[in-house]
Amino acid sequence: MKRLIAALLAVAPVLALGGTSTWNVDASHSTVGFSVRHLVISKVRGDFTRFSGKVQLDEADVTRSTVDATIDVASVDTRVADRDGHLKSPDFFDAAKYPSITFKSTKVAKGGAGRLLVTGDLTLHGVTRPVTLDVTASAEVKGMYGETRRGYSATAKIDRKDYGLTWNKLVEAGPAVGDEVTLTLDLEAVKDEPKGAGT
Amino acid sequence: MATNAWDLDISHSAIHFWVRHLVISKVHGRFAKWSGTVKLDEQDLTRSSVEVRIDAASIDTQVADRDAHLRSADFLDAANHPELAFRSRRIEKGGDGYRVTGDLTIRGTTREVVLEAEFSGLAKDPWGNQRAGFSAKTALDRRDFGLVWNAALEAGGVLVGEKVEISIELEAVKQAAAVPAAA
Repeated sequence: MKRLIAALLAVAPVLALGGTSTWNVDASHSTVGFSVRHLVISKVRGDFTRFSGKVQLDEADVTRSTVDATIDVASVDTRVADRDGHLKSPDFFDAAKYPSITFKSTKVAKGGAGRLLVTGDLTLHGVTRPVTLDVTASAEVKGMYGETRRGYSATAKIDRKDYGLTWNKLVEAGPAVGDEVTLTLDLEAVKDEPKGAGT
Repeated sequence: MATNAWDLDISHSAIHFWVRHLVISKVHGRFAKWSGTVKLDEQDLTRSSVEVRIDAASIDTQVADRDAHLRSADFLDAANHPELAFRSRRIEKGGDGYRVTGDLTIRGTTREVVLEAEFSGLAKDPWGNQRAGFSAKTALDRRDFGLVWNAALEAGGVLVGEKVEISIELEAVKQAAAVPAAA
């Protein structure tokens, strides 16, 4: 009897978790990228270099999982200092007034071909609107130090005007800066594991 | 030959790549410093040519330690091979756009590569300059250029992908018409 109780107590913490694991985004192996059209004919890419994200993964039913992410607007990087300065200004992101972009999932549904459709509230420039990310998740792998990792690849398109990002210049061919922004996320997340799983 | 030299606007162009990390994810990077010229025949793009020189040390994957490793002799060996270069040899219509065949030199090794390219059109910028947009992509095995560094994974596979996917966005600006040389 005592042994049975001891055994139950030993597994109790695992049972109490209900099969949910926490995963933290590894920023050094992740990219939060975007691209917009310039003068209609070319694409300019950029990314945000400072961000954090957490996935609560329900291992039994992925549709009960949640995602929470925060992006530092001032970390916008299109590799041209003047342009990044313009993007942080009130003409665009107004980073001083709205320093963070956040995404909080509200729903996860299975898409076709093993994909996931993750819907959530995207808050950008003080405006919150639902966005659905088309996500492909990898299997689990072991990293170089025994930690457990997963890869996530996601895309979405938004119209920046919906978030009050309306600055533009009109040229013969059309707008100088496209309204449609393509978001491309390539993320790697590390599972929070009890001691012994490595840093 | 009705080609004109166009300048590449680096601030609206980019040379990107990604490789797989631990098989499961993509790590992106680009080269921050490079230059090139395009000789465009607007009537027949297949009579055009492009040449690009890339500063190897300008590799940028947003992580300083990783970039330093990529510059080292384990990868690009930027100290001994400071430049990557591409020179097109022929352009043909193909697929949804064009096939650009040329010589790519990385770490002192030159091999032929074929890029799938698309011409996105012409537009005048706010100052009246004529601009042209292109995008191109290709994939290569970095081992073909002597970039063999890796670490094997217990469960199989390798730490850093051998296949490198390259995607290029170019915006070219037509040079002002040159004054003809005196006869």
